[in-house]
Amino acid sequence: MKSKSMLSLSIFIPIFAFVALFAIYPAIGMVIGSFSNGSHATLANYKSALQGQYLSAFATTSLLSLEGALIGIVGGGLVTWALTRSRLTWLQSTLTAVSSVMANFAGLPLAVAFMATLGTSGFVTIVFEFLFGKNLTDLGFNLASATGLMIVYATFLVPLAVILLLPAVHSIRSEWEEAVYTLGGSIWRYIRAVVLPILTPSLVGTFALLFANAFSSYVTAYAIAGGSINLIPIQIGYLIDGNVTMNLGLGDALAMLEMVVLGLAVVVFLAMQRIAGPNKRGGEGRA
Amino acid sequence: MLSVTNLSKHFGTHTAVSDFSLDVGESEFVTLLGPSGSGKTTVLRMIAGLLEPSAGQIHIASQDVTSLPPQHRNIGLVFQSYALFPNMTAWDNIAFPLRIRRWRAEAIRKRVDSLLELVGLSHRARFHPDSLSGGERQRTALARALAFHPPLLLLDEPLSALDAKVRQGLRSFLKDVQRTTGVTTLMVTHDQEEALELSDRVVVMNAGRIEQVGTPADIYYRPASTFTAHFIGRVNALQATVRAVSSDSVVVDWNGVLMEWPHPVNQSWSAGDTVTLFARPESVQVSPTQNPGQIPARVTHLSFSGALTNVHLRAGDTEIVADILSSQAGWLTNGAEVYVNMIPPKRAESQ
Repeated sequence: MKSKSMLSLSIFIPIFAFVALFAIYPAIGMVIGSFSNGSHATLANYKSALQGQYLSAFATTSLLSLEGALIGIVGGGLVTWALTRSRLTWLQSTLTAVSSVMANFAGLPLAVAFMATLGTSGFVTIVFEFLFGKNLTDLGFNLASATGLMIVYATFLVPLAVILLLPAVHSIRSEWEEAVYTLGGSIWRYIRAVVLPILTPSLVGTFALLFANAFSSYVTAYAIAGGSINLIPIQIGYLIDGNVTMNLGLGDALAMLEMVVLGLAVVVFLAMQRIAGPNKRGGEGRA
Repeated sequence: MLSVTNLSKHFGTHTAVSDFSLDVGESEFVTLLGPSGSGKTTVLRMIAGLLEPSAGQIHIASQDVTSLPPQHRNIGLVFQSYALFPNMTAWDNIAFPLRIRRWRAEAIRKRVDSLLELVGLSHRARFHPDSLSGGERQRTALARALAFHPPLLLLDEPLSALDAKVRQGLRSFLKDVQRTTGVTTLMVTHDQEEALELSDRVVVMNAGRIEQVGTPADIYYRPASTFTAHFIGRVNALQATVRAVSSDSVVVDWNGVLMEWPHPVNQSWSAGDTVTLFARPESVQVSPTQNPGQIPARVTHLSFSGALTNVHLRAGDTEIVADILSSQAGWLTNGAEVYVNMIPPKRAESQ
């Protein structure tokens, strides 16, 4: 028994070491850096982080992330609902697999894919101009804008929402719907009185995670929008790589504040997962 | 109260229910009994409005409800899985249909409290289904289905998800509630004991058709078909020859022994016919010495099952099983030569 525990521990030691070296150590460095100006302890980095262009960046990033999360939750919710009600098992398995791939298809490849299709010289842009004689840019569409970024975000936020919501929506049993009908209720009563209360924790939790995902997106946002949209991850990038100005302390402070936002989102997600637990068991957990 | 006429249901080329007709009277407790795939649940779901019939009519309280959606049929339905809403307490689950019907808050409170008292769950009113036992959930589901005073209550295998001990207790509870409320009830089950114990009448179904409709005693002692005889409990099938037919009984010859049997249900026998008699194991008498009307047999196997001992016998080419009270089976041993006869015809069963 003791040797089994030792074996398990020996497997985890390299993982613990890896996490300590590449996650905890840099995080501690970030915390220290955020309170330092190189020689003294200071709160100046946080003061700067919460004013001017950086405060504006927080507002813009939060707004875009809220929009992205909203698109994700609505789109993902509808797709999941349709999936679970569809009796085509091949469609369910195919869309679930596609969602798993799409949810992880972010970063530079996704940005390049969009530039190749909806960019100024993109395939769709050229075909559209050929067919209708008008350029998408002339019609007001610009991939390197908040709207363009939302479209790109939707391609991984909607599938992510599908993956996160699928277990909760699957837990909705068809007998509940039939029970509502035989008790005299309509489909709207079923949605309002049964489905939404059961799904609310999962919807809120998923929304929080989508928000966190959009908020922390850097490579996709940078590749698509560059400097045209004032986002926190891009500002952190500028401050750390010295593209415009180098200020590691301020970069650390912004990163710390971003971690607080993401941490809150994760806390909301976990809390909602706990609340959703009994409902996911279909009310038959402790008999 | 409920009248079903020539009801059929086809799923593609498969016929789930064929030409099903049944009348259920006011306050009657009728059970649809059959094996899996016999079509009993399909019939129930068509009556509830959850499945559209391919043909036939359904009348409830003289109103044609065949094309009405389930929410307008005013039927109480208890699902096999209870289908309680997990986001609501037991109290709110029971109040749910009353809120739909816009009852006043005070009327809802009175009705729900009285139903909780009826089903013995007043102390569990504020618990969610997650925190209720299987039996408590079943009683909550029953209370919810009765809340709006439906003229008809449908029970879809209401006890099948419970363990044997709880199930036994809830059978008499279910019958008591039905008697107290007087609600016309149609239950679906595959459990013969449950059907015989609870029902005023039993409808035996097989392959989408009705095999027999009758009282529990009719179904048990006078099965109309081989299927019913074998489906309802264990049975001995005995080959015999009809010797004489009178107005109220027939005389059959079984291994040289003449016995008087009741007329078969739905069949006509004539002198000289070779027929099959169905005798329940408890209708077989076993004696150590030969009495008039008994034939010799040999004990091939004894199995103790508590109050009863199952005695397996061979009489000529015929295998017979007899159920003897264990307290009176002490003299029986494997290989013993014994003598058997069937109990008097009026209590016996025949085809």
